[in-house]
Amino acid sequence: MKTTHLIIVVCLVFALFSCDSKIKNIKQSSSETDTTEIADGGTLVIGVRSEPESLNPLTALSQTSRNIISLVFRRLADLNEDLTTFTPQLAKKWVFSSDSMNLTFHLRTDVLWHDNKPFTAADVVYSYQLQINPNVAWDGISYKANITSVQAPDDSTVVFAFHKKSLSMLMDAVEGYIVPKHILEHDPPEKMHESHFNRNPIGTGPFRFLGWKDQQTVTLIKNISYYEIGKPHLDRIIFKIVPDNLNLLTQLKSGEVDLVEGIYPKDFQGIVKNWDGGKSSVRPVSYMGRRYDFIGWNLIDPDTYQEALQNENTEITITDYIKPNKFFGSQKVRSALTMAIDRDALTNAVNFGMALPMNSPAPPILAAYNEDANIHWLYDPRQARKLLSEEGWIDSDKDGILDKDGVAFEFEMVTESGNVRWKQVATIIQDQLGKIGIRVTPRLVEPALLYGKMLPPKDFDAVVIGWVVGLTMDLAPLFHSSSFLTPFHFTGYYSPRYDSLDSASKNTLDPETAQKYYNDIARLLSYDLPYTWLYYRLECSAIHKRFKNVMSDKRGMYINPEDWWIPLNERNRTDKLFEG
Amino acid sequence: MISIILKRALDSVPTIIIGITLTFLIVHLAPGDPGIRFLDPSQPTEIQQVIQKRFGLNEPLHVQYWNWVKRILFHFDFGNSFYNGKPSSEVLRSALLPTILLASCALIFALITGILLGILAATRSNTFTDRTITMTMMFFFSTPAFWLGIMFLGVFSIQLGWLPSSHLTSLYHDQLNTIGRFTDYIQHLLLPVLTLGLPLAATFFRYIRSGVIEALRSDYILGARARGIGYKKILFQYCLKNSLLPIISLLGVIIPALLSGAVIVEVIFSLPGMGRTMVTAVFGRDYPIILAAGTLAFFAVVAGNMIADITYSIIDPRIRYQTRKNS
Repeated sequence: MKTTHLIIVVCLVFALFSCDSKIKNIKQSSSETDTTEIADGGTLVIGVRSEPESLNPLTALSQTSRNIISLVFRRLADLNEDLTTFTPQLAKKWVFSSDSMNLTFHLRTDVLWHDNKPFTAADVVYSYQLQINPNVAWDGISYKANITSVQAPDDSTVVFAFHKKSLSMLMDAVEGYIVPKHILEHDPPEKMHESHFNRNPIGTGPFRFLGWKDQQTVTLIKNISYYEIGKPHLDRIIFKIVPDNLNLLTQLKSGEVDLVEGIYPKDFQGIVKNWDGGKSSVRPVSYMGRRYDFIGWNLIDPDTYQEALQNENTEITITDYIKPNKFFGSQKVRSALTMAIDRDALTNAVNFGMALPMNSPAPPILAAYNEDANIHWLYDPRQARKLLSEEGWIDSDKDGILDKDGVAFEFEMVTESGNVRWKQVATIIQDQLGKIGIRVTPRLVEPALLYGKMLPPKDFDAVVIGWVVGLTMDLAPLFHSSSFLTPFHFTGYYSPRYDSLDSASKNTLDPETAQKYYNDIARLLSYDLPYTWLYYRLECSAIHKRFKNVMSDKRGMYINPEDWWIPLNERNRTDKLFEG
Repeated sequence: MISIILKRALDSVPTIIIGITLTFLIVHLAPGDPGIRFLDPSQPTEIQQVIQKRFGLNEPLHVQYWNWVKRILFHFDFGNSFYNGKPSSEVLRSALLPTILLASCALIFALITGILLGILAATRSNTFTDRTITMTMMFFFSTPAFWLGIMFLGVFSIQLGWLPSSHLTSLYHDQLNTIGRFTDYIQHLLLPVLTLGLPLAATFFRYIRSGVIEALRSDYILGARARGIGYKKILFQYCLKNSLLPIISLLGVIIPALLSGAVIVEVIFSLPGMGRTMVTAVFGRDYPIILAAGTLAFFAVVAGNMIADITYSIIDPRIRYQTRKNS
C-alpha cells in the first residue's frame, strides 16, 4: 500500500503557527552549519530499507523514490521553511497578472538537462500535460485542478491560467518536478509506468543518475553542469538498500552507511544516548514529520450502506446511505471513548517520546494549525462511563461488559498487519477500554485487504492507521460529502456544516477569514470526532557527523544536499577509493 | 534413458498446469485490491478505474486467466510488474542469478562438508571425534537459519569486523582489480553461504554417517574385506556409493528448501535474489511477479525431482531395470 497522502488545502500565505519551544529545540538540534573551508568531493551512503520502484516523478510513490527524485529533478520553485514563501529554482521569478487569474514564470536560460539538452518552457508545458493526464495517474493531479491552461509564449516564459482565484495558486503551479519533453514525448502516457525513463532518469537537479544495481544500490553523481555554480560539493550519493533493520543500524554505527531515516523511536533513543553532545560519530536528527496516527470510527451502519450502494435508483441521496452505527453513531459515545483512552500514556509508550499530542486534523507543521481552536478531550474514564450511561450503555447483566438493548459493547479494532506500532496502539486501547467495560478485539489485517476491501465499503467497526500529510493539504477527501463514496472517506462522516466551512475556506482570498474557517473546521471535527487523533510523529534520522552543513526541518532531510560537504581530514575509505 | 526422461517430462506437464493454475486462482481470489496502493485520497475517482484497467484487473477472472495463459504460451510473456513496470522475465532474470550463485555455493559446500564429515564420523563411530562432529552438526541441523545468520553477522561482521555484513559486493567493487573483485565476492558470500549451507550440510551428514555405518556392518562389505580389498576402496567405492542414494533422492526436495532458505538469508545479508523478490511481490500483491516466480518454482521443483530420479537410475541400474520391466 502506498503511503497515503492526506491533502488538506491550507492557505500557505498565512503566517506559520508559532511552534512551541519543544519543536524549536528539535529544529535547532537538527541542523549543524559549518561554512569554513568547504571542500568538494566525498561520498554519501544513504541506507534505505526498500528498493525504489521508479525514479520518474510522475510514477514514483515510495519515500525512497521521492528522496532520490528530489536530488535528480527540480521544480520551478521550492517551498521555504515557513511553508508560505518560495525560492526560485528553474524559474527566475514570477508575476501575477493584474486580475490575478494568470501567473507568468520567467525561466532560467542557463539550465541543462543531464544529457546536455537545454531546458525550455516546452518542458514545463509538457510536464503539466502529463501531470493532468489521467492515464499517467500522477498522485499530485489534484494540485492542477484549478489550472485551466499552461502556455509557453517563448522558450523562457510560461503562463499558467486559473479557473478561479485562490490562495494556493502559486503552490498549485509549482508543485511537481519538471520532466524532459525530448525524452518522454516518445512514450505513450498510458505506458508511463513501464517507461525506460523510470529507471534511467534525466533531470536538471544537482545530482545525475549513474546506475542502479537491482536490490543493491542506486548511485547518483555530481552534476557538473548544475546551474548553481560551485554546487554540489559531494561527488557521489549512493542509496544502499538494506532491508533488515538490525543490519541497517549496525552499518550506520560501523560507518558503512552515513545516513538512515525512519529509525524506530526506541533505536533512536539509543543513538541519542550514545551521541551525548558529540561522543559518538553518529549524530541524531529529529524533526517534525508528516505523519499522524488515529482511530477511525465507523459512524454508519455497514449493512444500510451496502444496501444503498446496490440500489440503482439514481435519485438516491447521501442520507439514504446513513443509519447511525449502533456503537459509534453517537457523538457522545465517541467522546466517551476518546476520554477513556489515556492518549498521553499511549503516545509515550509507542513512540518513546518522539511524538506530539494531536487533537484535530490540522497538523502542527501547517500555517492553519491553531491548538486553541481544538476541543481537548482529556483522559477521564469516570466521565467517559457517565457519558456512556447517559447514552444507555450500562452493565445490566453484570458480566463486566456494557450493554444496551441486549447488545454488548464489543467491537473489532482493525489495523495493518506488520505495523508493530499500530498493533501496540490497538493492544493498549483494548486494555484501556476494557477498564470501562468495553470489549475490544484487535485484528491484524493485510494492507491490500484493509484498504482494498474493508475500509472502502465501510465494512469495519474501528481502525487504527495513520496518514502522511502533504505540505498543502485538503481534508475534503476524508470528510466532505462530495467524497462520501470514495475509498478514503471510510468513516461515513456527513456534516453539512463541515461542507460549507470547507467550501468557504477555499473560496476566500483573505487569509484572516480563511484562518477563521480553519479554526471552525478544527473545532467542529475535534468535537464531532470521526477520528480520535492520537499523536503527531517526529521523524527520527541519524547522519555521520563528518557531514557538514546538513539542514533538516519539517520539509524533510533533503533540503540542501547540494550544500553538504566533508572535511578532507574526515574522508573515509569509501571516499578515498572512489577518489582514487 | 531418453525414454525415461521423456516419460518423466510428460508426467510433469499436468503437475505444472495444475500448480500454476492453482497459484493463479489463489493469488487472484485472495481478498484485497492490489491497485489500492497506487491511489491517493486526493486523486479523482476515475484514477481507480485507470489503475484497474492498466493491470487488467477490470476483466472477469476467467478472461484474466485466459489472457495470462495466452501471453505465456504465445509470447512467453508473464506480464509487467505492477510495482515497477519492469517485465517479469527481466525481474526474475536479474534476481535468479544471485540466488543460483548463493544456492549453488551453499549446496556444494553442504555436500562436501556433509559427506566428508559423515564419512569421518562413521569411520570413527562412537569415539570422541564422532560425538563432537555429530553434536556440532546436530546443532546446525536444529538451528533456524535466521538465528544462525544473525549470530554470524554479530560475531564476524560487527564484533570482529572480518567480513562485510551485507550485499553481494562492496560499493567500490568496480574500482578493484580482478583479484580484488574475486576476493570481494568471496568475502561477501562467505557468511550467507555458511548460513544457508550449514543446516543443509548437517542434513547430508546424518544420511551419510548412518548410511556408511550401516554399510560397514553389512555382509557384502564383510565379504569384500574377506577378499582382501583395501579399506579405502571399500569405503569410497562400495559404502559411499550406497550411502549417496538417499542424498540423491533428497535433491528433489532440496531445491524448494534452498529457495525458502534463501528468502531469509537474502533479507539478513541484504543480498539480491529470488527470495527477496518473491517476498516483496507477495506483500505488494504484485500478481505478475508472484505468478512468474510461482511458475518458475514449480518448474524447479519438478525438474529437481526429475533430475533426482534420473541420477538415481544412473547410480542404481535396478531402478532402470524395474522401469523397463513395468513398461
